[in-house]
Amino acid sequence: MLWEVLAAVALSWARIAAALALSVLAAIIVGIYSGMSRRVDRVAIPILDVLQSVPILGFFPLAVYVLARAVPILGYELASIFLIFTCTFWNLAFAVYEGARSIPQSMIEVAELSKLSLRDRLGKIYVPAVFPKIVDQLPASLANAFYFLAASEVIALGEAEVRVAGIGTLILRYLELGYHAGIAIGLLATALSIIAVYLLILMPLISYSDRYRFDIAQPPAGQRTPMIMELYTRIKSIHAPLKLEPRRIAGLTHRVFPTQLVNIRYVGSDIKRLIFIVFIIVLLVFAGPRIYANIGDVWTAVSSVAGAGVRLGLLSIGEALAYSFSRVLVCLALMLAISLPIAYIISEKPRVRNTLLPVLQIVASLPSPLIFPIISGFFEGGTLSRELGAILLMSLGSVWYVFYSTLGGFNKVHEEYRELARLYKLSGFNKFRYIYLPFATPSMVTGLITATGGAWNTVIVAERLGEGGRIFEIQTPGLGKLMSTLAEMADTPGLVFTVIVMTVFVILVNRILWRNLYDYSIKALRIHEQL
Amino acid sequence: MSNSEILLELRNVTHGYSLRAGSTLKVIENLNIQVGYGEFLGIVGPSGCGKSTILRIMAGLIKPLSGAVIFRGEVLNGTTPRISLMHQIPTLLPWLTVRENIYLALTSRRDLSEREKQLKVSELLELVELSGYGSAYPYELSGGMRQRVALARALVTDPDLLLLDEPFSNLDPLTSLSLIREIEGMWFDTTLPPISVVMVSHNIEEVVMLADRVIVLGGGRPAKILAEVPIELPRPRNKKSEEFYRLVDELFSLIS
Ligand SMILES: Nc1ncnc2c1ncn2[C@@H]1O[C@H](COP(=O)(O)OP(=O)(O)O)[C@@H](O)[C@H]1O
Ligand SMILES: [Mg+2]
Repeated sequence: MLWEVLAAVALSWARIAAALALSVLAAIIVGIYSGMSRRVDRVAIPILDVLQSVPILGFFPLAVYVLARAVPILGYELASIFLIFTCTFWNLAFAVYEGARSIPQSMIEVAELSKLSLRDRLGKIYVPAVFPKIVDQLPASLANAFYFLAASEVIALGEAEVRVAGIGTLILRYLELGYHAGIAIGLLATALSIIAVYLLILMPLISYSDRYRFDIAQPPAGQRTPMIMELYTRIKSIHAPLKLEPRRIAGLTHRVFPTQLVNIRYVGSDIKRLIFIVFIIVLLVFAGPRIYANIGDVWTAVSSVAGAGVRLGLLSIGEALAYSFSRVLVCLALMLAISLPIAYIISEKPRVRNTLLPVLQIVASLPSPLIFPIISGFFEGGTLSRELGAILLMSLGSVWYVFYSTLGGFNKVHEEYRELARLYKLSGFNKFRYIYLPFATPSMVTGLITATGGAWNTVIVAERLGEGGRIFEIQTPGLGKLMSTLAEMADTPGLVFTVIVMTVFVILVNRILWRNLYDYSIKALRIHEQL
Repeated sequence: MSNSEILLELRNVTHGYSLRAGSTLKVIENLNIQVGYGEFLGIVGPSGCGKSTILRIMAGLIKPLSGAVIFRGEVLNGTTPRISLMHQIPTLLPWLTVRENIYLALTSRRDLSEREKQLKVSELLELVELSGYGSAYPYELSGGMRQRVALARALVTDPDLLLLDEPFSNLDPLTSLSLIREIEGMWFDTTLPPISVVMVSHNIEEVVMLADRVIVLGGGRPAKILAEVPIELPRPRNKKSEEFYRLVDELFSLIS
């Protein structure tokens, strides 16, 4: 049994590694290409933005029909890797894009003046410049990959369910068998392997990437502008120094989660965005002939999707959407209530920070869906208890976005402002109200935006969770519940329709609510150049 | 100076910062500085020699590695409203109005009623000639006006000792001259706090304009006191006068 577990862990890691490698490669290509050219930028970024709001379930048809059916034998493996990829790619792509965009103009001009070839330009300027951004995002991608591990190892659409071998499916099987020792050992092995990878690979990599950062606030004198060229020669001899100082663990945590997403520009106007929504729909329809290979032509596909909308009833879809949206909002409030005090304490007390942060870091990268069964068992009681359970499930995966971006915001409070609080002996509450909270608000809102996406993605699992023949589901309507029911019934047109509804809704809410909240907070706080 | 004439004293103060490698960078070592009652003390030295560090130690914000800070005959432990510090970088909160920014310094005071606090804020606004700007936000003010708000905030607590960290370093020459006049005015007016002032700067002229005595720091790491020079020019001082020139020259030659 132990061997079975170890082999499954290894297999899952192999798949995750492949997906990560693919993500990094794709992120470099897409991110740098969009960062280099305004024209590509205007097209690619909104597409990425839209695609990242599509829940993993939305990629199922593509994975199953295109990859699994087209490629014999290896098809399901590829489909699984592709599904993991859809969990790890987006933050990397945005980070690379931002990195490429933030390369000083002067550097690019130098490259132009010295007529560097594209290869040199990539190798000597762009790739080294985005390297630290990629490294920063790896833990987040990894955490996300594990979060959806079980979902990505079960390639299922209706009766046709294929499970690829891996720790996610193994634990699922143990669950079905009611084999508790196996579940425990499986979870433990997964946790240990994550910790090992974290300590042995990610941390040295992060500390190594430090020398490629040229946007650190106050680099030691003499190290101010290490020329990228020189850096490049060093990157080639990449031998991550295996130095593990506890202090560094604490120090790097604040950049581990995608606080960089703070500044993602929402490129383009609403009209452009609408065009892209339409584009996406067309894309889905375009993929239709393949998806609906048995149905035949494009028009049947479109009409069957539209028909699904009518069949399901727009009103009941709207109702489900409203319920799910309220759940997302409660979930966000909960995440804030948890994150604010903890982040505040951590940013105030260095000693707490040094012990608590590494622990939180590791907890954050544990695949929380593995404890889904425990939660669902615990909250099985009445309607309200199930609601709570679902909200908790939704929070688990995304609370980290809120937490780390809030912490990042608190860490931005300059020493001088902290001293101000001490000079005037401000009470903890006043210090929080007048200094810390306003400082952190913009990054906190960004964290909330990211977390909203995460919560929407989890809604599908959280509202209806089937394990081992037992179904844990909320007793009120919900879009996620609807979607997973449709998936179980292999109602592809219905699924596509609901995915479109959810995606459009998420984008509209982003656009109307979050974006304005962000702008409003910047304006209300009058944060201008002076900070 | 006899003991009764000393408001604040640094006794054998040593401080440094730990570097990445685990070693300590000693910034100051066995430093002794006395600030007299009613004295305007200037401290000059090159950038990075530890001037801000000294002020933070005097304010009770950082505890030196060794040595003691004696304030009014007692060891200083932590911050006190009796000592105010105006930071080198402007630290007004952008989301608070000018009034609210000044009021912040009084927020935690229990010995004053709300009315007294508001009255004090108004008084200080008038003193720095910003009465009409109480409800403006910092970003709407010029650099010199912001610095005056920061000065008002530092004074609103009626401190005995005011610590100024390069108050003019972010201002253009004209604006800084008018702020110098402002501080001079405050200093002349004996009904106003503070009792003593310590001003730190890397600009010798500014210090000679205001100080009764100048301490020259420098000589590499850790920084040492290179000289102590009394400035006995009559006030208000004139930058163009010959003695002024001579003194600035003398101090310059000490530093370089
Ligand atoms: N918090 C800190 N951590 C590490 N080094 C510091 C810190 N604050 C100041 N230093 C270093 O101590 C030296 C003195 O700093 P400071 O007192 O700010 O000098 P000054 O105000 O004279 O320019 C500088 O070399 C500075 O880099
Ligand atoms: Mg300084």
